[in-house]
Amino acid sequence: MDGIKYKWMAPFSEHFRYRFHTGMVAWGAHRLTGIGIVIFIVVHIWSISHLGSGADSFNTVMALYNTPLFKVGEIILYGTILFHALNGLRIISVDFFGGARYHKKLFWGLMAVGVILFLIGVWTMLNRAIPMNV
Amino acid sequence: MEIVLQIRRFNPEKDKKPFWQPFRINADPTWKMLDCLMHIKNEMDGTLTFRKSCAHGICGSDAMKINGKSTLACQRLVRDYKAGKFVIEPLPGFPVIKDLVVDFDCFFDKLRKVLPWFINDDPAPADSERIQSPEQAEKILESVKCILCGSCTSSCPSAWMNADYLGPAALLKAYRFIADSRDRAAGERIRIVNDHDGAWRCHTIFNCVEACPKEINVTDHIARLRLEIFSRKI
Amino acid sequence: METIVHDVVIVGAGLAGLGAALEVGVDPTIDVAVISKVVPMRSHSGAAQGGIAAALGNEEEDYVEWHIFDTVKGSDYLADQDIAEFLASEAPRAIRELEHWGAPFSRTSEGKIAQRCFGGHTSEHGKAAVRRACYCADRTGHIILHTLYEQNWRRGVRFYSEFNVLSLIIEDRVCRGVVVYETATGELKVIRAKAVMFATGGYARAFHITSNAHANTGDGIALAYNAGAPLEDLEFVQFHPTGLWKMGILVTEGARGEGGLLINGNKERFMERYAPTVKELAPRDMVTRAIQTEINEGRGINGEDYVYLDLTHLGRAALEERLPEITSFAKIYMGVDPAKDPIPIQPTAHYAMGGIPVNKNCEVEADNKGNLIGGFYAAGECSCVSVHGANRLGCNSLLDAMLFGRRAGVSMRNFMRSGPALATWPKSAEDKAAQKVAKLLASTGKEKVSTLRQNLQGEMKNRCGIFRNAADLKGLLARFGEFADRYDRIGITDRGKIFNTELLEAIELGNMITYSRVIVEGALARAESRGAHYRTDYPKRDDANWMKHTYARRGVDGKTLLDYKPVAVTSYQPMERKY
Repeated sequence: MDGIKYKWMAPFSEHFRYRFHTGMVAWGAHRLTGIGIVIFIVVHIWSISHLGSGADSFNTVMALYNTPLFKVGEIILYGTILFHALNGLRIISVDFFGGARYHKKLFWGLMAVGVILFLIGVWTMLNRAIPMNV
Repeated sequence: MEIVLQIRRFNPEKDKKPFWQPFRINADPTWKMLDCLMHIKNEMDGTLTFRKSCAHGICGSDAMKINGKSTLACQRLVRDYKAGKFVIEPLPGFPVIKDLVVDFDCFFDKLRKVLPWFINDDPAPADSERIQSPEQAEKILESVKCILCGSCTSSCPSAWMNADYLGPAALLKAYRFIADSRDRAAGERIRIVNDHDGAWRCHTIFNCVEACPKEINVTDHIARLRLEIFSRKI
Repeated sequence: METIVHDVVIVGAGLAGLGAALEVGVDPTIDVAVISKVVPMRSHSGAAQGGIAAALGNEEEDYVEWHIFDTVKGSDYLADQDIAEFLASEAPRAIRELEHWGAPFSRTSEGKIAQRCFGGHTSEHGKAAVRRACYCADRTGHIILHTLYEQNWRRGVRFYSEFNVLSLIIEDRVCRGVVVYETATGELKVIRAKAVMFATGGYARAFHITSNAHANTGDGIALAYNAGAPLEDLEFVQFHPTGLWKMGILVTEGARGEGGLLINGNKERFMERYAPTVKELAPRDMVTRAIQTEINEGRGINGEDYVYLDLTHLGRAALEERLPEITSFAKIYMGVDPAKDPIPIQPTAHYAMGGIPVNKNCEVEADNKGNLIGGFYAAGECSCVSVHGANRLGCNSLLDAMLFGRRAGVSMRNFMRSGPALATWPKSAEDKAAQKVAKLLASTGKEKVSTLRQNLQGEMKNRCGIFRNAADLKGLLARFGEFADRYDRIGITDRGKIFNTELLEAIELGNMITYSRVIVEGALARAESRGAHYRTDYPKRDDANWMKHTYARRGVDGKTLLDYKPVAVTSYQPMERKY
């Protein structure tokens, strides 16, 4: 392949720059959300592992999670998992149930479902996060 | 109407690297992109080089990347591009020989790997064709449309990243024979595509489906291929 | 210049060339190679749509004898009848073998090869249309081409892909080999062989509106002519009735076979007037003249130069299943959905009935007396056996190419078995080709290849087209001197060695001028109307004087020498052609 230094640059390089389609966006987003979820799991295991060090150390870590930054992070995490799970369903459909024939409709349909679930979830999360009475 | 085509040029006898060259032409909206290229070659720059033959989407010679998408230059008309922008490049992922002409050797080598020919060495019926029901014929109807133009494989990011990936075209061809009720080498082909650089390298990106000028749903066929592998291996 | 030696060299990788390679390859001791100017599966055989004819009788009663008669009558009695007999009787076996090689034909409910109606194919000598065309949707040529190529690939046949033949060397009536140009490197090579076969296809790119690929520049026909071989019946050019308006892209006859109707500007199904029995399924030359007459007499749509092909009554399902390719052409190129609207069509230059004359064994004839050129074979559209005479029936071309291609292969295999010696290479025979290339690469003339080519194509369409007359033909003939002069003054800008398509186009233009002249000469001399050749000044068929084949040879001073040979008549005496 000429004109690019590393293969991963391919979709972005001047020569390769390929038009994005639904399928390619879904694939790319699935990979990114996958990495995101892995990072989350590592952080999660790290934080839960503090249970082994006693209640104080665990509570300190949990206190972190009450900060606004992490609350936003939780919302983003929720969206990430939603996307990855729903698109995962789409991929399973493509693999086993002939979903390739209508993969775009499947994608947008599942995303619509995802948006609804996301909004409900965020509303629930915010309600719990903002204390009703101090 | 006046349009500007940005064409990716490269003459190995003169240029060190490829470069963009703009051409301003007066084109009719019903002109194919191929007509635009021929107009440039005839009237402005005779060195502009590209393959062409049937000029109506059946031979597959003029596959190239137009506005970021692998397609056939003879199937795209000027009026198809509402934005009025025209960026023409050779197929991505193939070595460039000159201007818009690329080297297809790797493509055909990959095809060869899946035994892309009918195999049935049983004695054929003497005075008749082998019987195949319309339903069985229907199963391969879509995959026999393939004109081996290279649009699919050239558009596949998996193919770009993995030099050994068989690619959509080869997998489609494998399916065409595996699913043909008259062929007898399905087992052998299944073994060949059941490889991490075979059917399993497809990540359902669907670029091939977007690119295919014959509107074959290649990913669907690769999915069917994987199900075939499952059902035979279990 | 590098010299390569093979036993058998086949030029052209369409149906005829690939069929021949398969037959030759049956004997693994023969060293065979196939040369193709395009990557083999890009050959124009793949563009054929409608079907391949054989009296299989899978859908309704049909007999070989009916097929023979239809072919002979369709040819306006110019076909050599023994050849037509051979074609029709070998057809069923050939199609079945093709299927055994894996060709994915469409199927009947019983699982046999499906067949559809096609123009000129009738039952009982013209009573009604009969289903004789074996098909795969409307991409029959494509699947056959790929099947034959795949079988060659399996066998590991050697291909010289993207090599153009520049010279054919014949001396003392023995073929010695060819000089080729390798497109990828710009190098010339000599390829010597004991047997050379031309399967180089048609020539309709010499006409402005054509269904043919850009590659169809009749190279083999011109080269054989320049090397001293005669050309037979070149004036018979088939204009296919239905090409997309202004683009020439083929809309298969199969569309009419499935029930499509031709409608003029007065919303009239005008074929009822011209061919009361079979109407739209009359032979191509009759339908073409009918359409052109309607256009010339002002009954085109809105008075313009096209009529409508109406498929709206077929329904979307039938269109998707049986005519998907042309449905997509209509949508992509004309913005027309055939399920909703009729398609604008006009006649388009399509097929060469004539070509390099060969006998029943595909051996090239040196003259009209049956003498042969040693070691030279031809088959397919570039040859003239003659099976199509003055007009070809649809679906007979794929059959002709495959069947006679294979037959040529058999002939060459038998020839090799007789242990022939490799003919000597005449000293400096390759120089002419090298000089031609060198001259073009150094050319600084002001004449553009594209301008001269467009002039030629326009003139051929207007003055040597569907309706011809002496004045037009004489006028056109007079221009060939000018064309030759202008060709000498051509200048190209690409001086490169790698993929110099500008050089190749210039060479192809030279070939086009060569054979176009022969077409015009033959058309001018033939003072009658027969099949696809129609003279408004001689509108009747004249069997007494003109039931004979034209043999054209290149004279010493470059003039065309015309001679004639009687038609072989076995069973059918010429009758008036009514449908």
